[in-house]
Order: sequence, then structure tokens, then C-alpha cells
Amino acid sequence: MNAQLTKEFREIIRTWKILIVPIVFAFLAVGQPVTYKLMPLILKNAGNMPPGTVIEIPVPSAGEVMASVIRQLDVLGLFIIVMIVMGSIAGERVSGVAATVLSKPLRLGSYIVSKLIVYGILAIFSLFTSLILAGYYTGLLIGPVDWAAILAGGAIYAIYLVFAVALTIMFSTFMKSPLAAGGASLGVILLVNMTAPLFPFKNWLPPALGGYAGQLMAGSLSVNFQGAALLTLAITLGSIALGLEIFRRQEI
Amino acid sequence: MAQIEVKGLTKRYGSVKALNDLSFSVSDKRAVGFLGPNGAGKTTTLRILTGLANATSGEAHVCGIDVRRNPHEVRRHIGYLSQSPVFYNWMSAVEFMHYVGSIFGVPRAEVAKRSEELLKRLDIWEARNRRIGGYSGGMKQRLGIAQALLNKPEIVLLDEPVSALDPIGRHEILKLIAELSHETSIFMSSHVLGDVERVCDYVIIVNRGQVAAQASIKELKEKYTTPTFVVETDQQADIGGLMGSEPWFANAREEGPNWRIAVDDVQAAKVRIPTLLLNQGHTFRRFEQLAPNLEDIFLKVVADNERAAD
Repeated sequence: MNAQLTKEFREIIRTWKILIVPIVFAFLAVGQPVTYKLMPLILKNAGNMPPGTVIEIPVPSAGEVMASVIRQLDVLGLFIIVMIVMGSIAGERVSGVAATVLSKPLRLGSYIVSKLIVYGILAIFSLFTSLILAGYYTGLLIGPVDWAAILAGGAIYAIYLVFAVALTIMFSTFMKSPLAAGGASLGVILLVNMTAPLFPFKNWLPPALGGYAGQLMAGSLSVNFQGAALLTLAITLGSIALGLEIFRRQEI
Repeated sequence: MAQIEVKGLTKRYGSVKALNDLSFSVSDKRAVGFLGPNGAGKTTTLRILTGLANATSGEAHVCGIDVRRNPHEVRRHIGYLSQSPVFYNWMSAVEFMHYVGSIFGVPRAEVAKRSEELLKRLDIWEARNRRIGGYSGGMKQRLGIAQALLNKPEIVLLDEPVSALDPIGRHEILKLIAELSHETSIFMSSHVLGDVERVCDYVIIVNRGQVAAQASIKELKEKYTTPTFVVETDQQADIGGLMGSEPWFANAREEGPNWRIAVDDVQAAKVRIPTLLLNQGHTFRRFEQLAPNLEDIFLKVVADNERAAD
């Protein structure tokens, strides 16, 4: 295997990221079916309800619970991925280790693409681990789940997570600090999320993938997601190409 | 073939000119000291030579390869130690050496053999399996030198290689660098002149981003050193008044209990200084001809350069 790819894989193992990220994702995901199951009990035991209050909450379907898992990961999971990736290049430049390594005949493309591959795999691994656990608990606590829809929805959302990884890596190639890279990446994602409804092609924008993944799991997907998936993949590749070009012009 | 050839190298950081039309050439198998005061442009030059920084204008060739056009190829031929080498803290020294070896495409068995040889030579073999994060500054510096030598480079670029070391470590590493200079070319930046004098046979002195002087240490000593005597007498002596009219006398300055007397004619001064003092009834505690040292030369070259620039 390529030297840099091996190093990146070993790094996520030796720094425990390979365990920490999936565990955090799993907690976020499993929390949804557990919360839905326990919600009536929680409300019943809430101390500040006036006597005689009757709250009726319709029991969500298993698909709706799984859609809520995606919504949960779309906020906190995405944040965690950006936090993990933001120092991948900026951190190495600030610490000086990039100068040690890049004074060797290591191709910049190999340096950047290895990070995309490994952090992309980490994100996908964390996503599917958490979805499988959430699916298991949803089946146990709520009702039977559609595993094919969960896996297909996971695949759609994985494209979006890899896009977030690529965007953060791109900012990490030229931002002076990991925090700035992470902030810029989250800022762009937030901005696109907030302004997407203004665009006529909003259904093609990357943030739409989270919604499609959730709709697929809930069994209510009515539009084609392929356009958004292809555009997101194209932006992902474009981000990496742009990051590489910027990095080539940067001083290390 | 010149191992390093720099022509008209200029580097600007905003309005600051770190390098100003820097030109020099280093030929095969030499230990070259790259000297200069802080901010003279030493680190910038080394970073440009490794392709880590880009020159604003000018050319740099290493081993005959244009650094700007083909930095990747240049890096195959060099070993580089930055001023404060940083590594992946989660790796061990052996792992890092294998990582570097795999970047160079060196077979694993050969990396293992070479790593053992280098880590033993640099006295970090015992700590080879410990995480680098737990290493002292000196150990990291040693590992920095080991990784710079792994690919058997044609030239090793060392940026202040002993700055982080204690006196014992400094002595050992300088000894090692001196040994290495018989195997490969060394280009070592430093502002510790004693270190350079111990290791290098040729020096390039830079100031304000330009070459102020370059020659072998021997040539520089011949060119720049004014023969000097140090005299300490039991009684107060007025050296200037006593010797000012002598034809061999250049100048004299008082330094604590000593007088430093610069002369133009060593042989005449050797006879006349003691004679003149004894005739005045002075007795000696010390009378010594100073060996010329690089520090005096460096200060003189930089002062001359500053005057010329102003």
C-alpha cells in the first residue's frame, strides 16, 4: 500500500480515532430510538405538569425513527467529522511535521488524497456502525425496520459526509490554524443549508442529501436524489483538486 | 558539478526582503558552514533549497536540478533537518524511519538495516520503540539527523543542527557531522561560530539576505584577521602612549585587566612589546599571541557589510 495511506490508517488506529468517532456516532444514533421509546415515560414523570394533563404522542414508525437518526447525525455527527478532519493538514503545518515529511519525495497529491480516503472511510465506517446499531435498537424498541432502506439511506448520506471531509481538507490546506479550517468548513455548510431554499436548484445541493437519506428510511422518498448525489460527488472532487492546487502554491 | 548553485535569489515577505539577490555555489564533498546573524536569511535559503518555500525571483539548483521546476526530484537527493524537527508523536523512532524509507521506496529489509545502523550511531537505539512524543529535544534532534541520512543523500542540509542540545550532546553531534562530511556533503547553517569552525572547512557568511563573504576558513583567517596580542601587566600601563608611534602598531583596546594589541608586523611586535614594557619597569602576568578565530572574522565581515549597506 502507498506509504502515506498506510501512515494515515495507522494514525487513526494509534490515536484511537477509529474507536472514538464510531462510538460517539453510535451514542448519537442509538439515543434516538431509546428517546422515542422512553418519551411517554419521561413526560409522565415530568414534575412540572399540571394535574390532569394528558399528552398523546403518536408512536413514530421505525422508518421515522431512522430518519430522525439521520437528522441527529446531520448536525452533531457532521460537526464531529469536521472537528476530526480540520487539523489533518493545517495542524501538521502549524506543528512543523509537514515540513519534515514534505522535505521528502512525497507527492502532494498522495499526501492530500490519502487523508481524504482515510477520513472518508472513517466517516463512512462510523456512519454505518451507528446506523446498524440504531436499526437494531429501533427494531427492538419500536418495530421492524427496513434494512435495505437503512443501508441505501446510509449510502446517500455517506456521500454527504465525504463531501464534508473533502471541504474541510480543502480549507485545511491554506488556513493558518485547524480551528479556522473547521470554522470555515462549518460556516460554508451552514450557509449553504440556510440559503438553499432560495435557490431554484435547491434539491440538487449537497445538504439535500441528508433529507433524501431520511425520506428513504422513512419510506417517503418521492424525488430523484441522483442529481444531488452526482453534484455532491463533483464538488467533493473539485474541493480536493482545488485544495491540491492551493497547497501546491503554499509555503510549507 | 556544483552541488548547490544559487543565482540572484530574492525572497520577499510583504515589504521585508529576506533574501536580496543571494548568489553562491557549493561544490562536491565539502562541509560548508552557512553563517549569519539572526534574520540574515539562512533558514529561508534552506527552505527554498528543499522546495518548502518559493523564491520571489532567482534560481536555485541542487545536485544540478532546478528546485523550482522539480522539487520532488531534488528531495530524492537531499537529507534535511529543520531547526526544530517535529515528528508524528504517536510513532516510534523505528516506525518513523520505516515511514521515511517507504516514501523513498527503499525495501523494508534495507530500511531495517540502515535504521539500526543510524539509530545506534546517534545513540537512540535503546529508545527506538518508545513513542517519539516522549522524547527529549535532544533525542528528537538526533532522530532528525538519522531520518535525514536514511536515503544516503548526496547532500545533507542542516538548519542549526545542535541548537537544542546540551554541551555533551552538542559535542557528540558535531563529531558525528564532522565524520559524515567525509561520506557526504554537508551544508550547515548556524550562528554558533565555534561549532562551524569545528566541523566545516568552507563558510558562506550572509547578512541582510546577501553573501557578505565566502571562502575557506583558512582563506578568511588570512584575509580578515589582524594579528593580535594580549598583554596583562602587574601595574597599570598606558599602551597607546607607549606604543602608538611604533610602525608595527595598529590599535589597542583595554579589556578588563588585559590589553588587546592589534599589530601589522608580528615579528617586530613580538620583540618590541615586551621590550617597551620592560623598559618602563612593567612586569607581565600574560603575554600571548591570539590565534585568529572565526568569531572575530564573522563580526568584522558583518560590520563591514553593515557599513557598506548604510
